[in-house]
Amino acid sequence: MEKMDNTVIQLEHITKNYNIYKKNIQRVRGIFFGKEAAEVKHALRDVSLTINKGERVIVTGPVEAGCTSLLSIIAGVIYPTKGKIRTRGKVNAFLNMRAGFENEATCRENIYLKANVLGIPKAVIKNHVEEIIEELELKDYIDIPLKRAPKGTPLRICLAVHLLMDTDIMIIDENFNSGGVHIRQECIDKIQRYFETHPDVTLVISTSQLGMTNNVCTRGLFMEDGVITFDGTPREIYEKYRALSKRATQPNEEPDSSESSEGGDGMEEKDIEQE
Amino acid sequence: MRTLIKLIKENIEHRDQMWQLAKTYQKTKYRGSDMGLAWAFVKPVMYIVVFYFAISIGFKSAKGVEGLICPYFVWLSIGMIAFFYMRDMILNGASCFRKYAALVSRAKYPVGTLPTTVCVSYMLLHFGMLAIGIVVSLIFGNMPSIYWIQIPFYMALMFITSFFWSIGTGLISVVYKDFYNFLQVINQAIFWLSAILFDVNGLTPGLQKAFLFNPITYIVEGYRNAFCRHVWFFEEPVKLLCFLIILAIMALIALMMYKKLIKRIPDVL
Repeated sequence: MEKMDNTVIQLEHITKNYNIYKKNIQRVRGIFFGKEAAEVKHALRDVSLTINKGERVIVTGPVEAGCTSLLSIIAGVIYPTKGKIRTRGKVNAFLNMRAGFENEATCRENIYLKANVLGIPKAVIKNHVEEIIEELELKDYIDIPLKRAPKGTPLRICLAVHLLMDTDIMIIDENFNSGGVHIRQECIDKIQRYFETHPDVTLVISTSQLGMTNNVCTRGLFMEDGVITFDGTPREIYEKYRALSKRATQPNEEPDSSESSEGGDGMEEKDIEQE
Repeated sequence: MRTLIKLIKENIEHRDQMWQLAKTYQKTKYRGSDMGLAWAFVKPVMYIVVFYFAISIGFKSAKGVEGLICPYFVWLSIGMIAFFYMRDMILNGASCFRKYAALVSRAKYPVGTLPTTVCVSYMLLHFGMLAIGIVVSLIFGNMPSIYWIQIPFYMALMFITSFFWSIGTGLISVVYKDFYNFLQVINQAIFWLSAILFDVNGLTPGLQKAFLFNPITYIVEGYRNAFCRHVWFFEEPVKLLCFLIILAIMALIALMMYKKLIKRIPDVL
């Protein structure tokens, strides 16, 4: 692939290990004196990946497959143990909607706070803040503390502010499960509309809302145990993920990371039916 | 050295973000209470008054400080005001990364600005407290003098000290939680070990030497020299030198920690 023109994300032999220590003092010894950890968790094993400009990639897999680690490394939030990563352009990392929010502050203040964390200049957000309030119908509770606002509000504010950011690469690690079905649909529609109007933005997303992949994504990656085991179309990924969900007899017991919860599963099917 | 330049660059580049976060830090802290931010000032003022009564009435040692050009109460207040900033920084500086864990491990945020954020945010309170201190000073008839222009100098030293303190201890307490608990324990002792209530110059020479190596004492004394004694900072070069040596050691440790740990803390937090 032509490195110069099209590649926006390039990972070369990325390995990420987490050292698990039973006691804090062991961690100190490990860091300063090079003692080996009691247990090493391999989150990513020798992953190489090239993503071109304008590609929309969905990454999914079972619990602890390494999706979150992969996305965090691309975002530049955590650092790989081994390997090289190159990204070109401004990265917009939507990894945790809570990051930057202050529960005691009002919704309006939180719009500014989130924008500040993302590095959006105050002048820009000021121009858009009324627009956001209008669009999200926040008028009634814009000046009450965020903790008293309806449940889906942080997610909606977060997404709205993220989509304002001037960006080349967008990374989303979110299940959109906060606040109910209609909020989830609203978020998905929003992302769809955003990418219709921004064809140059590259997307890497890890979510259990696979329904949206057919409309937004152009490529799918399936991860298992820290390795990308399948690189294909979003439809193929969807089938693989469905098979996986069926295999899991009790989805409720699964930790809620990048995996399906009961609500997520129902939604996926709905999305597909709508097409 | 390269680490320091990188750190300063990061802070300058993202100063707007840092400034917004610092303002919010204090703004939201007393949210929900009617008096709001006023509490941040009521508490320390109360503290000073209580200590004044305890010492001047209880122990009757208020006349123990020599060479003052102002009442004992002013001397006590000014010293305490400088001390309050550093007391706040000892614990809050040490938790600067932990408080913003989500920003460190789950958001693309310039992490190097977090220690500055906490330092700046408490500096805002300190400005308020200092204004109260000046008013107290004027009420007791201690008029402004040319010596007062030293205050920004001592303030800068205080800021730099707490900056390096926050980086060093902030990082250590991420990887080693017990360290933070340890700081909580010694936080009380530091008050008594920093010569806030009694005059260093009235101690035996041996003890005075020991206090040379306490940076808190140096800054508290500096504030008092400017307000209550009319002594220039260059009139006490040995003290200044000792302070700078301690500061340099702190800075060195902090930068070493930064270089070693900054890429690891997202995994731990």
